[in-house]
Amino acid sequence: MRHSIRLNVGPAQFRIGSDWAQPVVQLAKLYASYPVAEGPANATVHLFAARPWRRFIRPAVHIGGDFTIPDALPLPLSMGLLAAEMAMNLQMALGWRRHMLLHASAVARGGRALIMSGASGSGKSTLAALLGESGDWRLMGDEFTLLDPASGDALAFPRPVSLKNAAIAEMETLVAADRFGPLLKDTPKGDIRHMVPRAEALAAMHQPATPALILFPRFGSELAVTRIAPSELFVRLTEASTNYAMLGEAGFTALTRLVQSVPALAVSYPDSASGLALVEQLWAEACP
Amino acid sequence: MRADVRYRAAVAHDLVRVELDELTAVFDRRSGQTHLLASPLPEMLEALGAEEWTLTAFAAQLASEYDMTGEGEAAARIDQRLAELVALGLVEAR
Repeated sequence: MRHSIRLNVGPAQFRIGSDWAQPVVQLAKLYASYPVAEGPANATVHLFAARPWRRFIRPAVHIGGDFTIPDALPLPLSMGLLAAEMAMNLQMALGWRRHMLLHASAVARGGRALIMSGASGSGKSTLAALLGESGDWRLMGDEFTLLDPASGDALAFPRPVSLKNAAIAEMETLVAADRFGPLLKDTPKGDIRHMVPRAEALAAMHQPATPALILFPRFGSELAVTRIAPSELFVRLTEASTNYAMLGEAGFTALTRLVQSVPALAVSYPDSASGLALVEQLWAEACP
Repeated sequence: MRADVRYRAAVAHDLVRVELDELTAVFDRRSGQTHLLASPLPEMLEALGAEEWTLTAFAAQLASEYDMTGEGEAAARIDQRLAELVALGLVEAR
């Protein structure tokens, strides 16, 4: 690889190699305030040209690494940053074995974690981003939450938040311009703009938090709160985990312990303001 | 249903069981698979214990434990549930 960069996000030490300078330059800028990566890399990502001449003629970025999806969508070079972020997600989702990976956002307060899981578009990412900007919440991650099978702790994986479409303008009114990456227009997921978490969240990214409440948010409908039984929570979280089966008995033990000890609720809310108020109310009830 | 079939549950060490409200999560150490069992499957696994059973003997055992008849329709239901446990790999039939 002609160009490369090392990045540290939570317990992951990425080594990212690229055929082009541009994605690496953009990554260096986006991750400038992150702690410096030390020690050996434990996740590898490659951004490579499909054919050697494609590096110069209509360049398209293929993603690869320790694990590769043969049909991974090539993206135009202007979206190299998005390709890099997608590749980092892919390596975590398929390759990480030290912790249970949940497709969930998380924020922490006072050493306890609020975990939010749900499908793409559920609002889990935007809610976490908004909470991460308000009061004493610490953003742990907008995409993945890691669970330590031994301790049951939640670990942060605070990549830059991947804001999509309407959430971009919403966060731009709250957050200083220097914490945003470039606006990536008309990607396969719509408009995307990355937002770097607050400095406090990055400084505390190696501090674990004890899971205290699990929410399954749904944006855009009437206010409603429904309790989720441990057995249903178990099923939902095995579906939300990218590596549950790979962890074997350690994963089973960690997940059964989590669902027995942490309350879980499905919540729907019509807009961000009422969602934030609801989260604060439910948190106060769960952590009196 | 064949009268000469013998049923035996996986040895206790191979299964990790955790009760979650109305369902029981079972991790099978041999296959690495997780099963969520609804009643009466966890109770049947428990009752099978470490012994080998014919359907008739097992139905009679459940009948005495749970105060029900172990014949006719009840035996047919127990046979069906045993077949489910066999399909999950938690019980061996031979």
